[in-house]
Amino acid sequence: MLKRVLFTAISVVIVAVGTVMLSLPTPVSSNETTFDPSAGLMVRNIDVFNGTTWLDDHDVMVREGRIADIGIDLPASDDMQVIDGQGQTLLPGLIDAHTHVFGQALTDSLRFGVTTNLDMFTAPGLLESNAALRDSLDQTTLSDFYSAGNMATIEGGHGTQFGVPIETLSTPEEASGWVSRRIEEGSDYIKLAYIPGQNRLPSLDRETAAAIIREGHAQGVMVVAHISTMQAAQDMVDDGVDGLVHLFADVAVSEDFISSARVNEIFIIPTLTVIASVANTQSSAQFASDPSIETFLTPTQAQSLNNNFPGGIPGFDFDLAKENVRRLHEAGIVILAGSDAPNPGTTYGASLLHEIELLVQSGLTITDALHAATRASAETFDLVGRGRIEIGARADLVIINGDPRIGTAGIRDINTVIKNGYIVERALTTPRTAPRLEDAGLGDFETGLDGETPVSWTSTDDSMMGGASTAAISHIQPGANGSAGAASIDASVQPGFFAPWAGISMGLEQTGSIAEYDSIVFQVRGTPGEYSVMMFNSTLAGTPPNQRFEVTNSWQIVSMEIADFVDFNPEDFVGLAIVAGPQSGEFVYEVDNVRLQ
Amino acid sequence: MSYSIWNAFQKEAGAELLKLLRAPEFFIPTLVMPSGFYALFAIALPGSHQNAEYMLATFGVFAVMGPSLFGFGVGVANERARGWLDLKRASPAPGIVYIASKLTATLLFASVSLGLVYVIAGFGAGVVMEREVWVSLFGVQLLASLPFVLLGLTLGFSFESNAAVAVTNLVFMVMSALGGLWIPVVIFPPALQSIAQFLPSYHLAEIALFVGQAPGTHHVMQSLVVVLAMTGGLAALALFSWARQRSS
Repeated sequence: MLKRVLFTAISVVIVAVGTVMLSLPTPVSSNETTFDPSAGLMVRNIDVFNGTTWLDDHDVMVREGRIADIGIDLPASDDMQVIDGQGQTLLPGLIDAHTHVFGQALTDSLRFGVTTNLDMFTAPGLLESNAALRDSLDQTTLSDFYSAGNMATIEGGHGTQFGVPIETLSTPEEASGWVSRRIEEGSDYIKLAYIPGQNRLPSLDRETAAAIIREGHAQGVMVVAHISTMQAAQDMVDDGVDGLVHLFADVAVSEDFISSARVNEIFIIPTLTVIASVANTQSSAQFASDPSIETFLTPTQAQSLNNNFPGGIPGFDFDLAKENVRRLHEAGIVILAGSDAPNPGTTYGASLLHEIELLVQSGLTITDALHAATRASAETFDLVGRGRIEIGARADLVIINGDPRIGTAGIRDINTVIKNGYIVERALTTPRTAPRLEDAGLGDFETGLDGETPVSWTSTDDSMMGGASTAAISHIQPGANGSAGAASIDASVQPGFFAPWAGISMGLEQTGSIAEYDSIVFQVRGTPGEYSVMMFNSTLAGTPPNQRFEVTNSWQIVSMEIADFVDFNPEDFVGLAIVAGPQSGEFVYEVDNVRLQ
Repeated sequence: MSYSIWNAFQKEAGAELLKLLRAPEFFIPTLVMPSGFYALFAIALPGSHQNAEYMLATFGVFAVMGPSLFGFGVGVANERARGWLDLKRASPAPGIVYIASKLTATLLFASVSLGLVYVIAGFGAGVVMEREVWVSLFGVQLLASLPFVLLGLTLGFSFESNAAVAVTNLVFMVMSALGGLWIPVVIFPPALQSIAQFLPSYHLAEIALFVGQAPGTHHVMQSLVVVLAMTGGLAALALFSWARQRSS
C-alpha cells in the first residue's frame, strides 16, 4: 500500500508538471520575426500583374527591399523565406492618388496594400522629414506619401474649413511667392481649388488659378486642380493644368472637353468613392461590411465608411460620374485611382480597393483599373521604382487570394502586404481612438538637441536608482536619411540596478495628455543590441512602463503602440526615454524624428 | 541497490509522503505561500507586470526552498525528538533509505509548489518564454532544492525540535529576503547586498535568472562555482552533524 502511495504520487506529479510545462505560453513566431531580411524573400508560382501586363505563374525574388529577380523556377537560397503563391495574385504596392494624410493615414492605408499615398492637402509640418522617410528601405509600419502640402485657396474657401492652418491667396500677383513658399516647405506638387459658380464657398478666381498654374510650371512642379463642374474643369484644362483631382458629375462629358483633355494630355483622378458618398449611394457602407475588409478596419475607419457627406450638395450624379469615367477612359485620357480619404464615406487604404471596383463598374477592365492604381500614378507623378514589379523596383507588394480577372471577387481578399521587402503585420492589435489633425513632433534634432518647446532632451541613466550606467548625448549632423541633424548617444550600461539603462530622455515642463495619439514613432541606428522605450507618468510606481526594440547599424523606423505600454496612463504624460539596456555593454546610437502619431 | 533496500525505500518513501499529506500545517504553506507571494509581487502590485519574468526566476527558488528546509530541518528534528531516529538506527534498513525517501517526498512537493508558481506566471502574469527555457528553468530550480535539503538536514540534526522550528524559520527568511528572492538585492543598502554573496539562495537565483534569460548581467559561472562549493560544504556539514548526533 505504501508503495502504491509512492508510485501514484510520482505519476500524478510527473503528469501534472508535464502538462503545465507543455501548455505554458511560448512566443508566437510571426512572419516578421522569422524572416531574415538579408536572405530575402521568394514568392513562387504566382500570377504577377507588373503594373501593365500579366506574367502568369512566375517567381518573384526580393532582396534588400527591392525586387531582385522575376522568372520561372528561380533558385532560392536555403535561408530565404519562400511563399507559395499558387492560386494567388501579386500586385505592385497600390498608390492612392488622392488622400489627405492625417492621423493614422499611413498605417491604415498600408494595412490595405496602399504603399504610397499622393496627398492632396495636409498640414505642411508633416513634410519636413518626409522626403528622407519615403526614400528609405527600412522596415516600417507606415505607407509612404508625396504631398501637395498647403493647397491654394482663397480666404474662407475650400480647404479652410478643416482647422488646418493655411496660407490663402486672392490675386495673381501673390502666386509666385505662394508657389515658392510651398516648394520650400516640401510640397511635391501644387494643388489648387477652383470651384466658381456656386454660393456655398468662395473660390479663387480664374486669373489667380491660371497664375498659380503658370508659376508652378515656371518653378518646375506639377499643378493639379480640385473642380466640381465640367465648366470649371474646362477652364483649368484651357489654362494648362496638369490634372484634375476629381471628376465632375454635374453633366455628361462633352466631346469638346474630351478633345481638349486629350490635346492637353491631362490626367484625371475621378475619386468615384467620394462622389458615391456625396451622392448618398451607401456603397461604402456595403463595401465595409465585407469580412475581408471589415476585419482590418479600425473603429474610426469603419465609422468613416458608414458616413455619408452631409446631404444636399447638388451636381453629383453617381451614374453620370461612372459614365464620364468610361468615356474619358475610352478616349485615352489617363485615369488614376484615388479615394479622397478620409472624407465621409471613405477611409485610408480600403477605399482605394473600393475605387478600383468602382472603376471596373464604370467600364474599365480589371487590368486597366489596377494599372490606374499602380503604374499609371507612378508614371504620372514620376515616382521612381513604385507602382511596378520590375527588377530594381521597390519591394512594395500585395498578395491577393484568387485571380481578380476571374469572377467578381476583385481584390478585396488581401493575403499579404509587403513594404520595403518586409511582411507587414495587418492584424489590428488595439482599438483606436478618434482621429486627430496633427502629428506631434517631440524632437527632430535638426539644429540641436532642443526640441519644440516645452520639450527638453537630456541624458538619462540608472544612477538615480543606484546603478552604475552612464550616458552622454550630443548633436550630430547629418541625421536620418539626409535630414539636418540627429541626437547621438554614448551609453555605457553597467550592472548595478537590476534593470540597468542609459540613454536619452525628454521631459515636459508639466504633465500633458497624449491620449489622442496611437503610437510613438522615431528613427534609430547604432550598436546592435537590445534597447527600450520607457514612458513616464508623473506618479512613478515600480519600473517605468517600457517596450523593447532592436537596433541595427542602419537607420530604421520604430513605431510603438502607446496602448502596449502596460500600466502607462496616457492622460498623464511627463516624458519618455529611449535607452540602451538592460543587457550591459557599450552602446553608441543615434535617434532622430521622435514624434507622436 | 539490493532488493531489500529498494523495497525498504519504496515503503519508507510512501510512508513519508503519507505523513506529509496528513500534515496540512506543512503542505498548505509550502504549496500555497510561494504561488501566493508570486501572484502578489508579479500581478497585484502596480507596475509589477514589468517584472513577472524576472520574479519567476527568484520565486521559483523560493518555492523549492520551503519544502527542502522545513521537510528536513523541522521534520528531522521532530523525528529525532520522538525517538524515531533511534528506532531507525536499530532497524536493518541503512540510513541512506531514510534520507532518500525524505528527498523523494521533498522533490515531489517542490515540483508541485514550483508548478503552481509556473501556472500563475504563464496564465496570470503573462510570462511568455520558449519551451526550452520553461523546462530548463524548472529543472534548475528543482535542482536548487539540493543545497537547502543539506542545510535542512544539518539544522535537523543540530537542534532540538522546538529550536529547529525557530531556527529554520529564521534561515528561511534570511535566505529569501537577503538572497533577493522577493526583491532584487540591488535595491538593498550595500552592506546588506554583500551578505547576499554568502547565501546559496542569491547564487541559485542568479543562475535561475540567467537560465530564464532575465534582464541584467548574471555572472553565472561564478555563481555556479559558489553554489557547488557551498553544496559541498553543506554536505560535509550535514554528514558531520549526523555523525555527531549519532554519537551523542
